[in-house]
Formats: sequence, C-alpha cells, structure tokens
Amino acid sequence: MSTEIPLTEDVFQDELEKFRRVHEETEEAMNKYKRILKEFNNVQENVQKKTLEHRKQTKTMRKVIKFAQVSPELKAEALQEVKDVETTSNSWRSLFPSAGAFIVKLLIGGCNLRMFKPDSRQAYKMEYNTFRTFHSYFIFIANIILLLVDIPLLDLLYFIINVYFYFSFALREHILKTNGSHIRTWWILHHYLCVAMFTIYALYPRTDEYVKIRPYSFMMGIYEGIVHFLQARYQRHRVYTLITLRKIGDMEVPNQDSTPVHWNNNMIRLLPFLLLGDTIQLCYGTVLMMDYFKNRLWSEWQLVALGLVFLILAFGNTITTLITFFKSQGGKKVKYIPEWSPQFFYGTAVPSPTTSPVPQHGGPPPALSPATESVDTFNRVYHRERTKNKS
Amino acid sequence: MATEVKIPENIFDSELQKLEALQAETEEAINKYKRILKEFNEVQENVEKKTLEQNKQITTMRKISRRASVSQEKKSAAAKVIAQSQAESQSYKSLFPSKGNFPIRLLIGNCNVRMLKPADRQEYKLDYNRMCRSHSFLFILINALFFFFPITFLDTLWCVYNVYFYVTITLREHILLSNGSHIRTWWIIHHYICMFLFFLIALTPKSDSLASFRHYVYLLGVYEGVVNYYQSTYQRNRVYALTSLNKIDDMEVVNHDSAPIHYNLSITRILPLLILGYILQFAQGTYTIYLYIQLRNSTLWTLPLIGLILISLAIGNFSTAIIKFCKSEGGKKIDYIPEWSPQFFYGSNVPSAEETPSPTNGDQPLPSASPTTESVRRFDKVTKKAKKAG
Repeated sequence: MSTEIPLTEDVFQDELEKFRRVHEETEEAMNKYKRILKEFNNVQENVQKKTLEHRKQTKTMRKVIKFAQVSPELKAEALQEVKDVETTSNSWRSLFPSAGAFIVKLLIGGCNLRMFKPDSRQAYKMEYNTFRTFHSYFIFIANIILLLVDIPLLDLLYFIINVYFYFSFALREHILKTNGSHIRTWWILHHYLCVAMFTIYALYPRTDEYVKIRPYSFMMGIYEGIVHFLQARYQRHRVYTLITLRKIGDMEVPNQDSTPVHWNNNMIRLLPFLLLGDTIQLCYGTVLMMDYFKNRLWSEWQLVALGLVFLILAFGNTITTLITFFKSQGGKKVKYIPEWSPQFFYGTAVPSPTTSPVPQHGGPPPALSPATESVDTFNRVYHRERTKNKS
Repeated sequence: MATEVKIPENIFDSELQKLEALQAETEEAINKYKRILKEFNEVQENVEKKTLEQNKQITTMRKISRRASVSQEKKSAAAKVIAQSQAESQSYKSLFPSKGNFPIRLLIGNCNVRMLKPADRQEYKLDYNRMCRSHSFLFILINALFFFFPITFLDTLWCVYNVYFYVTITLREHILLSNGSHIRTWWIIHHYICMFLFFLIALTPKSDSLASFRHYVYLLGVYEGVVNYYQSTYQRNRVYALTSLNKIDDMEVVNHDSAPIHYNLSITRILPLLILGYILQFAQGTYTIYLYIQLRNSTLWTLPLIGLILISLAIGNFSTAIIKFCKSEGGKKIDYIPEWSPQFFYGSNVPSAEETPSPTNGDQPLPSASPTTESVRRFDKVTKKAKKAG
C-alpha cells in the first residue's frame, strides 16, 4: 500500500508562488505574442498590397514595351528586365497566405494552407512520403488477400479505401504545390483518375464480366504495390545519401518532380519495371474496351469507363515518365527547391535586377542566395571531384 | 480598323523608372516582412513552450493542492486560481497553429488549418453559412424537379453531389472547430451519417417497386428543404439585428451552436415545423424497413440500412433540438464567441501583470482576458426593451 506524504503549508505556498509567477510570465509572453501577431498581420497585408501593385506595374510595362517608339535593343533589354522582375516576384508569392487550388477550396473552403515555417513544410513533405509508403504496403497485402478470398463486401471496402487514399494524395499534393513543391500537374490528374476508377469499381454490380476481370485487376494491383514500394525506398535512400554527403542541409529535401519518381542510378534500373506496368495497364484497358464493344454494348457502361481510364493512365504515365527521365539527363540533375529553405523564408538579402549587378546580356541569371549556389544542381562529376578533394 | 497605339520614349522611360522604384520598395518591404516573420515564428515557438510549461504547472499544482495539509478555504481558493488559469490557457490554444481534428488530418495530413487573422476566420464562417444556405435552396429546387421528372441517372448524380456536399460541410466544420467555433458534436456526426446515407442511396439499384416510394422521398425532401431554408434566414436576420443594435461588432458573428439552428423568439414559431419534419423522417425510416420486408429482394440490401439511418437521424435531431431549446431558455441566451474578435487576437484591452495588482495568496480571482466580452455575454429581452425605451 502506497503512503502519501502530506505537504506542509510552506511547500504549498512556495508552489503557489511559483505557479503565479509562471502564469504571469505566460501572460506577458502572450501579450508580446499578440502584439507581434498584430504587427505581422498588418505588415503582411501591406506587403501583399505592394506586391499586387508591383505585379500591375509589370503588366503595364509589358504593354508599354509592346507599343513604345524606341529601338528594338532597348525593348529587348527592358523586356529581359521585366522577366527577371517577374521571376523574383513569383517567388515571393510563396510567403503569403493561400487557400490552394480550386479543388482544395471546393472541399475545405478558403482556409490558408501555406505554412510559414521551413521545418513545417519539410515535416509535411516527409509525412506525405510516409503516407505513400504505407499505401504501397496496403495495396500489396490487400490485393493478395482479395485474390485468395472472394467476398463482395471486402471488394467494396477495398475500393472505397482506395478512393480515400487517392483523393487524399491529390489534396496533399495540391497543398505541397501551394507550399512551393514542383509537382507536375499530370501526377495530380493521375490521382483523380484513380479516384474515378475506384469509384467505378465500387459501383460495378457483381455481373459475370466483373467476376471475370476481378483476378486480373488484383494481380495488377500487386505489381503496382511492389513498384510503388521500390520507388519510395529509392527516394528515401536518395535523401539520406545527400544529407550524409552534406550536399543538402538536414532540413532540405531534393525533389525532381513529384515523389513517385526520383531519379538516380538505381532508379534507372527501375525504369523498365515502371514502363512494363504502364504497358500492362494499356493492354488491360484495350481488352476491357474490346470486351464492351463485342459482348456488352449498352449494358455494362462500367467496362468501357474502366477501359478508357486505364488507357488514359497508361499513356499519361508513360509519356510523363519518359519526359522526366530525359529532362533529368538520366538522373544526374536534381533540382533544388528554394521555397523550403530557411534562407528563402528569413534571407536577409533578396538579389534582383535592380539591387544586384545586372547580368551581362545573355549571361546566367543571378542565384537566389549565395548559400544555395553549391546545391543548385546535383552533378555527379562535381560531387566526385569534391569528395576526392576532401579525402 | 483599329489604330495602333504609339507610346513616346519619355513615357517608356518614366514607366521603366517607376517599375524600378517599385521593385526597390517592394524588396525593402519583403525584407522587412521576412524579418518580422522570423521574429514571429521564434516568439510563437517560445510562447508555445511557455504554455506547455504552464499546463504542466497546472497539473503539478492540482496534485499539490490535493495532498497539502492546509485549510479547506486555502485549498478552494487555490483551486479557483488553477481553474481560471486553466481556462485562460485553453483560450490561448486558439492562437497557435493546429493540425485540426483526426478526420482533417486523415485527408490533408498535418497541415495547419488555424487562421490567425480575425477577418479570415469571419470570412471562412460567412462562406460556410453561404454554402449551407445555397445548398438548402438547391435542395428544395432539385427535390421539386425530381418529384415531377423521374430520371434514374440524375438521381444517382444528385446522390453523388450530396455525398460531396456533406463531406465538404463536415471538413469545414472541423476547421471551424479548430478556429474556435462552438459546434455540437451531434451536428458533425449528423453530417457523417448523411454522407453515408446518400452513398447507400446511390448504391441502391433502381427498381420499379420503389417508384412510388421515390415520390414520397422527394416530397419529404421539399418539406425539409423549406424548413432548413427558413432556419438559415432567421439566423442571418439575428446577426443583422444584433450588429445594428451595436450589441456585437461588425466583424463578430453570433453563433449559438452550429449554423443550422440558431435560437431566438421568432424561431420558436418554426420549432413545431422542425419537430414535424423529424417525425416524418422517423416514419420514412420505418416505412423503408417495412418495404424491404415486404419486397424480400436481396439486391435491395441497402434499404434496411437506409431505414435505420433515417430513424437514428430523426431521434438524434429531435433530442438535440429539444435540449438546445430548453438550455437557451427559448432563445433568450446567446453565447458570445470571443475567439473571432480582434480583441481576442490582439488584446488591446488585455491587462498585463504590471498594470494590474497581483492577487494576494490566491484569494482573489486572476484578471479576466478582456473586459469587453462581459458586456455582450448575454443578450436578453430585458436589455433589448430597456435600450428601446432609452
């Protein structure tokens, strides 16, 4: 039996004093916080108005350049300056509140989704990666179970859960994009197509055709699950490698296009499997369409709808994957995302055409911040030279 | 034929100079903004740590207060101090980022959904009210149309739209909750149930045996739509009345519970219609189950589920409406929501520890967050009459 030691009045009074002190300190801190919050909100509104005025002036300047009675060289110079100014001005947008894309506003209204702390953005991105990895485990295991067990309710549950997953991916990618991530629009569209696909599956009654196509769908699902898992694994290894090599800070994450595809040497080995998956999708979509037109015309619309979705997915995925592969030169170039770095948020100097030395005509544009120059592109040759010098 | 505009060189030069000047000014402003942003983030983190420390201290003080061998009066005085401190600490939460409730996090992840400007919160709330209002109008229109024009494909489309509507309303309510709104849990559960209900209706295969039942469903839908529309009209009128009486600020929104039902004396006239609606809903649920038993068709397995859902909705709505009506004393009491006022955010009237005398030995209560909230805490008939007479 535990015995409670009674506390004396002195101890009680001391603790009460300490409690009151902490309360007063917190109240003071809250008052300071409220003052800074007010100042921050006022400054934010003023700066937003200024940037709007600035954007209007760049638009006016474009029109003036178009109709001005000046030499073509002057016009070209002025146009270049306007373009540089617009690039800088676009990067500022990531510092102000935003409700996100139309689809996000349609769902959750005009709530600000832009995070103003670099570590919040990073944490959100990491969480998204974890979520995707979890989904790849889920579809792998679920498809195996559904292949072995034939219960209509389980099928329905699986389709509904996938509707949730893909919808959630699309929303999260919209939010990542709002926070500066460079995600191709096709991958977000891909998720919406998957939502449509699983909705059609969920609404598909249990006909003979459904029973026929069911095993093939789940076999494809197993393959997709394995490929997604490997993609996510390589992505994670890439991050760890770059952090260890101090190519990027602890809080920085390289991202070439969206998370599903991050290119490096190992990733190039995965490319044939990705293309094989797309080919299987293409064949499957074609077979469904042919089945509909041959056997089920005007009776099972779900067949033709699924076929169409699979065909669009196959073409879109293949083209986008190949474009990304060639643009990244087989994985050697990794784009740096400045909008997640502390320098972007708190950076003291913002170089621009007016405050920094004007680049030579046809020369490279000025870097955003000196600190980011060394990690602007990940070049394998450059990295090899650096490690040689270090050792 | 349009004549081409020619801009002389001097205007070109002046516009370019204006752009350069504006660029320099904007950069200055952005740099200042970045400095303040950094300071703001640092202060926010420090204050969050301080509030966590305070919460720990509250827990410790409670335990000490329980075990201390002091007089009962001192213990109860200390308990009052602790309770007030805890209430203030709770109110502070609404000024820090928050990821929202579990359903929001499930959908959009750990993204901050708390707005830190009073105008943004108000706008969000007004947008939510507008959405509910336009849906209630659409609900009447579509139900009336479908009553006269039965098209199966459009039925499914209407159900899918309703699933979307209830998903979005629920998510917005979760965000409103994170931003200080006082919405009863029942209304959120109600929306989840409606979401599931419309999903089941979409899954129900179209059958000739359900054709006559379908008419009854849409007729009831028209009735419910009309009643909901009148509710939201009274809610809006209430806000205008209180704003014009200077009982609340322009930016303040009165909300007793969620938007669908706001109680005042006028709405007690609509209460019997609401109750009748719930009774009809209950009858509809019972009839759905009876229909399934009569038809004995296994493909219509969704019917008993739909019936059970309608019955539970009817019971839940009925009991919540009655409880709220009694609690608000027939509409006389309206809670004021401070978390949306500029005073709450920026605290110009918040007295600091130096400005107010510190309480002695925990005998006196701690100073309140803002004196102005007391004056609008209760809006009752007596005050209204006195103002009119004055």
